[in-house]
Amino acid sequence: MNVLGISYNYHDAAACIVSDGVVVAAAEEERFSRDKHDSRFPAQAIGYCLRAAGLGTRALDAVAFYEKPARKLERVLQIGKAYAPRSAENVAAQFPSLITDGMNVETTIRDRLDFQGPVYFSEHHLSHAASAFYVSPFEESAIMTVDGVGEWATCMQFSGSGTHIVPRREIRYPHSLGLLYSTLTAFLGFCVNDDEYKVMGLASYGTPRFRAELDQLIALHEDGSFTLALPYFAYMYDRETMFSPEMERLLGPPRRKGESITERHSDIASSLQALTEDVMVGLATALRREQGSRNLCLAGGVAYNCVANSKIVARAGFEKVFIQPAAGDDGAAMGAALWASHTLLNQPRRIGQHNTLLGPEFSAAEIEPRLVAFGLKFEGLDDEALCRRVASLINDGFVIGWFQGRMEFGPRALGGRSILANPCLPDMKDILNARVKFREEFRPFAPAVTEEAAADYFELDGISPFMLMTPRVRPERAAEIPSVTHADGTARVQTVSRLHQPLFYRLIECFGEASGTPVVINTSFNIRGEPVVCAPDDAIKCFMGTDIDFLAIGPFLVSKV
Amino acid sequence: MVENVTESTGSSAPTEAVAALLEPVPPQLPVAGETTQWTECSGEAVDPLSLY
Repeated sequence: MNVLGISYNYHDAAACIVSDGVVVAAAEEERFSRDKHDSRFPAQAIGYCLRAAGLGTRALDAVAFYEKPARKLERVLQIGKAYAPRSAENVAAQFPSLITDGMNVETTIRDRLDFQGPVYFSEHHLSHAASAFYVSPFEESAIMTVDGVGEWATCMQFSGSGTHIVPRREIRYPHSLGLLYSTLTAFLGFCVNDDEYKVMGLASYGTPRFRAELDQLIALHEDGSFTLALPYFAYMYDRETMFSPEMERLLGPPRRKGESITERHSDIASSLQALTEDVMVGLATALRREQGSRNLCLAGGVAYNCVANSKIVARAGFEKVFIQPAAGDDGAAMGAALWASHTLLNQPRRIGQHNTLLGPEFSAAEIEPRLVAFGLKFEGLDDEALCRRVASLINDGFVIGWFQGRMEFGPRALGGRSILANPCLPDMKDILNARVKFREEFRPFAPAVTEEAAADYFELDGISPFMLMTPRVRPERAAEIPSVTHADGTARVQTVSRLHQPLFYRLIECFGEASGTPVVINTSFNIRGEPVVCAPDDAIKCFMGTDIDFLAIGPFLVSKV
Repeated sequence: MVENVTESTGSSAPTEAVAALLEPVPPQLPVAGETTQWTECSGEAVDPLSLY
């Protein structure tokens, strides 16, 4: 049984193929179109998934869409009516897309895929829940999804057992933790639905001295739910501004885009982060109390908040937590396909460790002609020689583009499309931010560490293969890896296993042999504002356009001199 | 294989479904003094063929 899952029409369009209950391919459309957060019909991602699975569309048993377009339209119309007339412009802006794209999803799918089989519609948060639970290592689990908004729900709690997911309760729009975070992201002069992680990074530089003010934005209830103080918010009727003049009276003037970041901005970010952590821990604690499961699955955009995730792990009472690494709407394409496969088509689950390396890969025969076409100087090496050479170069302070195997599904680069550097050099963070990534100086870099060495360097209980946890760097190790130790002493760590990523593991091991430190800086292979590279040409262009010193692409090591 | 991933031909909106949604419905906005925002789920299975 082959099911194609699709998400599009809002942001981060994606496709995924599930065959006989197993995810075999998934990718975001932006990686092919090179348009970041591309929301259009994911034709190229679908094409890739079909190729990877060896299928034509006539071999598909079903196509599953990630949400209910009519219910979303209902929400926009009802909220628009409730806030009329000031909502008129907002409704008018959304209406054409909701009608022509949203209500015609089935027609579009049938036309563009020439598909005559069943087209199924999941629900937005159910897709998130399915994306986490069905690929988790748990036979049964509590499930929590938190994001901006789906159809009506902004947060849901489910119980999962075997192939069944049962929705239990939900918090509905306009009460949304994700939109609260996005509203303050806009207030701090960053882009909504894009820069929330920057606010999380900025938070570490501040103190939560605005917490009392932010507590006025939200009432936390004993059962873990919350009610927003809506007069401070404008997103119900004004998606451009997100916040009302009341917010400015509460917090002072907002930061304009491009304006320098002050201590006050860091302190607001810190206060927001602390509030978010408390809400997330409250929700999870109530869920633990309500359902009694020892396991928790998390998804939805707020699950990208790795600092809050770590607080949930530490405080909410669950023994094991699994977070879907593609927690946003891209991952919902996977969730829709899994939901249809297991729930509607009765395919069995295969419980094991989830792998995010689900995107395209390129052979040496495909890569070499591109290097020649770009006139690059390169040499071919076997795996062991490549790892030793790259480790030596990293140890000497060079910055490496690392393009190996399949591309990651989800926003984190995990050793497939990564930029690697030496975390022991104190100025490496500034070098990468200024000369390679062209991004804000306050942004931290993440470490990748061998699983065996993780506990020596980080206060981490277990593994963190998807960079969704931020343990403290052990104080005695912080001076050894200054470029990955954030201002608050934590690091968004990736643990790398020999079994699942043998080449990347061997590289880190070789770096450990060369430097004494089995940890490398691992940041996504892209520059600010662009999607992570997908194909060899993308990688070569990024390599040529930045101060990346060497490119390790397939078996080839490329230098600029 | 992938050659049948084609460009959209476009189509008209399903006007009946839209018209039904335009019927006035009381907005589900909160009132002051609430002690929970949870809405219990109905337990009904998702209709996989419905857009609503």
